[in-house]
Amino acid sequence: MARTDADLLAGGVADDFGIFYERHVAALTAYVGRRAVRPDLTFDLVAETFARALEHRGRFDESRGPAVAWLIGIARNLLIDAARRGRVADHARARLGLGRIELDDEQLVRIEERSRVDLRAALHALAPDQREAVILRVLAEEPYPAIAERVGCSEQVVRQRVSRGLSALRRDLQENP
Amino acid sequence: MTDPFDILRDRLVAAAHATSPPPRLARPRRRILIVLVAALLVSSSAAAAVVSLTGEDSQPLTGKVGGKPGAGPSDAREYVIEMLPSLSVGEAGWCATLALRHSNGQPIAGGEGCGPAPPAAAPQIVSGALVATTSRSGKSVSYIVVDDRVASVRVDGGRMIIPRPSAAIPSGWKAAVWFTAGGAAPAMPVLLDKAGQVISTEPNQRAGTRAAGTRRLATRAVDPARAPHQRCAIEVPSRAGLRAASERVVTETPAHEPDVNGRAFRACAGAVIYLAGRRFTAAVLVDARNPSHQAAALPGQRPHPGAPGIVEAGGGITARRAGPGWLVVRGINPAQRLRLLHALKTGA
Repeated sequence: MARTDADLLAGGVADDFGIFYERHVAALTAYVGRRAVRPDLTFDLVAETFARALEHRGRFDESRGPAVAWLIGIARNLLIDAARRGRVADHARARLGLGRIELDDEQLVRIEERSRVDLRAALHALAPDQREAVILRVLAEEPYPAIAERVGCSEQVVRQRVSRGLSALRRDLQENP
Repeated sequence: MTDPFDILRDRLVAAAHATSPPPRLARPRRRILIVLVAALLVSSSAAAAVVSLTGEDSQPLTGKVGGKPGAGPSDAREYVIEMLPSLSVGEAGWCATLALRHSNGQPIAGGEGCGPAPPAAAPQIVSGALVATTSRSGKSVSYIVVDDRVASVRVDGGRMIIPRPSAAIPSGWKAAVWFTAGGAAPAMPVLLDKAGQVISTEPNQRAGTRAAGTRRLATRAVDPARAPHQRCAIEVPSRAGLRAASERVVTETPAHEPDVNGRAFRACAGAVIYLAGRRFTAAVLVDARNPSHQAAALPGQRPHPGAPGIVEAGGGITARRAGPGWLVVRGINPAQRLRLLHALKTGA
């Protein structure tokens, strides 16, 4: 059975963070790529998001929502900050000593291709009840009880729909890079 | 070429080795929440019901949040909703943008959502919402673009919004825009016809699958400097300050006429181009049903001042006719868009 994101983050094993990264980088790049104006900015935002996630992995609380929602929340804050300040923050990368990754033309094209993954199309491929649950929980950050009330089912069912929807989404993004 | 995402993973893992696991900390909650939920297909139930059609007129697609100063999101003053064709190569689809900005034009937040063009039976074209608040007492802006079967839209709290046509959206369609209180994302609206009957959005839900008639056509990457000799391709000339990063063209012809609502477009070629260090997207758009037919006017299309044959359109697009279709350039700087549009060639 696959280990949960919470297990990967809480264990403190360095290689586990690599597994966590592989699990979510496609979805995060697709999310950021739709909102950033250039591939180098997309990459900067993805890198800073994961650097912050690494720094604060002890804060991840599975009961508050799935890990991809946590990552998107970090990326969203970085996007807002970048729009206001005109540049992507690099504080977490600096603190971790990650250094800047210089990108050549081919690498920029690679980022561009991964940014083009259509998260919407992948979302639309989900069953309607899963799609609605994922959108409300991950993109709109609605709490589980509020979603349950809105769609008229138990909180447990909503959690199951979000979990299954995200698994399907992840499979789709990995199979259609 | 080493995949930059592999380099990033290796560096993160190395950094993880160098750091000990941090203690669990309480999550800070007080922060500005700005959420865009765009281009969602309605998934609300379609139980039949008869309701009164008295309602409030839609807000315009561009205006002040809340209708009066201080009534909207904490620091937002104006909103702008724009619709544009999807420039994703192979796809017949629509995008919509919603931006919040200060009254001096300074951007506050915004976002964009795209999705496949819905089939003719689907009444909803695109919808979205922007929630900008520092607390649950904030307000959100929501919008939905529908076809002419929809007479009103029922939203949170049972309010009825009457959609209206606009030059910013394709002819024959209408838009409903409304504000709601609270920090949560608004509920999916319910569409009603002239008689007050709920219109099923089941065709919209079916359109969300990849088996729908508006699926993306197959594409291939080409060299922008040596674009293939075909009608739908973009040739990027070699000039100082101009660099094409990538180009894709459609390689497939639909087996039958796609089932789309209204006059949708399909991007049959697209390129990512850098001009003076700024990124632009160029695309050739054709009529989604029949590429040899004259493509419709672009949403929000207006003549470019002083440039005959050039138009400006919603979403930061400058365009000119290319055969029966359009050659469009999208990017932040209008003067550079025009310069790029003049430089590019197509096979049409």
